[in-house]
Amino acid sequence: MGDEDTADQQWASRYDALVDELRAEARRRREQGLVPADFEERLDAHARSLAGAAAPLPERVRQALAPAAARPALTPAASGGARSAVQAWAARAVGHSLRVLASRIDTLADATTAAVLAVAEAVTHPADHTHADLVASLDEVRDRLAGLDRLPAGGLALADLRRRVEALEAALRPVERGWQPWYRTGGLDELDDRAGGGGAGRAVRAARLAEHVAARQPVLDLGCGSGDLLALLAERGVAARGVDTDAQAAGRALARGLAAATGDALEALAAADDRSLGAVVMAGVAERLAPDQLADVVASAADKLSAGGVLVVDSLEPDAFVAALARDPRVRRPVDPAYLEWLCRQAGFEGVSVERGAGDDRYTLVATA
Amino acid sequence: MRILYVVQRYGADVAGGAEQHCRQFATRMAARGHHVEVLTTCAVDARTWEDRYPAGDEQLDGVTVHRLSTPRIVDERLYDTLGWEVLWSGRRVPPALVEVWLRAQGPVSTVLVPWLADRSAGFDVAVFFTYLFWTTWAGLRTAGGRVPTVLHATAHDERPFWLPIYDTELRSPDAYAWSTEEERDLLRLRGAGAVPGSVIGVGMDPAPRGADEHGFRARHGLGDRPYLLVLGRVDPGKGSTDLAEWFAAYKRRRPGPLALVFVGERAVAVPAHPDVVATGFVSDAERTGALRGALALVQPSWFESFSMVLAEAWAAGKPAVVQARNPVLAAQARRSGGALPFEGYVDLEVALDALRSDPELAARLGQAGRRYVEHHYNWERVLARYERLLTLARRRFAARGRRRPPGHLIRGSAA
Repeated sequence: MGDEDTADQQWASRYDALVDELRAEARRRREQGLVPADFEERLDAHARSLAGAAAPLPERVRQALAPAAARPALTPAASGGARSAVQAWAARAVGHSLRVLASRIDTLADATTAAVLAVAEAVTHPADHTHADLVASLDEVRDRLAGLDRLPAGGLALADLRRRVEALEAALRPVERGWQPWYRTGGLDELDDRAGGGGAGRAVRAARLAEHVAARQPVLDLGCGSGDLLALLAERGVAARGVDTDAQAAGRALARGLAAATGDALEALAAADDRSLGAVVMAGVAERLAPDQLADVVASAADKLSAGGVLVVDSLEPDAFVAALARDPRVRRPVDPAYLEWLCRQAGFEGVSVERGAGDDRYTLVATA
Repeated sequence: MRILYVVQRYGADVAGGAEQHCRQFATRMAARGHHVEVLTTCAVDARTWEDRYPAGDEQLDGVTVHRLSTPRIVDERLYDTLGWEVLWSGRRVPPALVEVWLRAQGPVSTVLVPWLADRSAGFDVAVFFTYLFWTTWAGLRTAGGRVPTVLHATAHDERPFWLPIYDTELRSPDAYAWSTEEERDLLRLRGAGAVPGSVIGVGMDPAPRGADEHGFRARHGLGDRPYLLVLGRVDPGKGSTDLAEWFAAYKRRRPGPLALVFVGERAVAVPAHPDVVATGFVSDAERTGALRGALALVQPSWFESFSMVLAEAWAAGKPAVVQARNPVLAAQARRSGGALPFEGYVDLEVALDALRSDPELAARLGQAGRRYVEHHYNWERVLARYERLLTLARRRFAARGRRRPPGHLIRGSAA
């Protein structure tokens, strides 16, 4: 960590304390009546007049939308229900769209009825009505109709509904991508270790990765497996959570008391708030991703890491790829460190370095946001 | 990439934050090798929308600008009356009348919709600025389905934002370019949660060296007095008049040489006070000189979706004092550690006392602000994020398939 980073972190904690002190001082001055009271009352009145009619959403709409922000957290407690929480959110969103649509149709029906009655009345008693009254009624119908047909391809409400149904379908699809073998895939990792694939072995690699990320919390470990890195970080008191598509591996991590969940790496990363993570780790994952998935993970990591945060990618050297491909069916394509470095710089990472251990057939890339 | 920007005003003489923001993106994307065109009006003044630039095409910093004339067809009295009815009466106003208000707000060009219907499909992406104006309301509807669309809503929590007339517009872009996390959350709350996007912000150049602080002081009679600086339009809605009143009270309680300087055009007169100076609109160079000499920037505005002036002050290494009832300013202060928050008079007094009595604290705040801007609003990073966002919009558009153009019901506009 650079001197400037350390100074920034120290200032961040000092700043919070400073603001608290200033607030306490302001409270003291208010209590002691050291300033004219009507100042603040007038300010509140002004604030109400400016913002009071900002028409906050009706409570029922606010409640219907709230789950969209509350994505399922990747904590041990939530991991079992993560998929069902996503489905429930998507289902509620569809329900909300249906209610909006129904309410618009209701309004249109009311306006149409009123217009028909006005026309009937005008025909019965022509002398009592002006042209303008009728036009206004018909305009109202036209406006309501336009409200249902504001977007191409069927109108706003319908297009919105279609999007939400798609989201629901996506949530109902299995979280895992691609081929799911009948055997326990965790066994492949043990095979890899025995064959000397990956050189130093997973435990040693995890220790090396822990060095890179220990000072950068919170850590998100994409493809955490049975939690070797998470365990090392937990020992050091570093806040970390992980996600893995392999439910058995994630289950073993959970059983060790670690914050792991079953899920897709891209979705887990996308669900994090922007600039909220200290480190994102991908060990043994890059070589299993499709090119667009890898590019998306790197781009998303650039958005999710806080200032000075690191993306750490541990992957196979292209030279060792053929042996790994023959041994592990999950491996899809080699990722050249030069390409990965270029990709990170395109995504806006500032410092990128690549490290290799002696006799190791893996490399570790560290990109600093 | 062939990029089309649609914005209500465009040009070096245009003062608005969103418009400057648009011009920065258009110019810099052109400099990065993209083909950039801008569809805008001939207006400079956002109150009258009077044609000031000639209609037609011009080249500006590598960007082709198409200017449309905007004849003002609704008088201001009607606009004010309608505005009260629509925004303040609390009554439900028929949609047709709200649309009349929106058109009266301007700028409206009879050519904009057919222009977009004919030509928008020739671009890879169309980018709209500011949700509020008719150019975006009508333009996004026309371009949607023909070309991938991105909206810089520059939205904040104000009355028009909640009008149902914007429901469709706010849900229809293929992607959002949010100014801040707070703007993103506000738009999600408004029902635009299904539209993806990215927090882009605005890029900031390092403060130019050699700014003429002494020239600024001499021109405005400031001598060597310490002063607090307010940048931007002097307007009650921006908190300027409250601040002037509080500053007068502060000076009664803390007599001394401290002055308050407003730099920016005046929508209302600044209350007369021997320690309050209002310069009116000044050149960029003079503005930089004003920042260089300031003790701190005060940002009292109630409504901001980003606050470029705050980023500008931080880029110059100046500390700030910000109105924390505005969620964007409060969050930017917290994230950067470069500003002290205030809500009411007492907080302001405490913050100013702290800044004046501890120069080291002021320097540390300014330094934290500068680091924050250098990291998050470095143009290279902002534009890299921005290019990814435009690509996302194109991918999303392609995934949804080409939809039938919305104007198919209008005779003569069928594709």
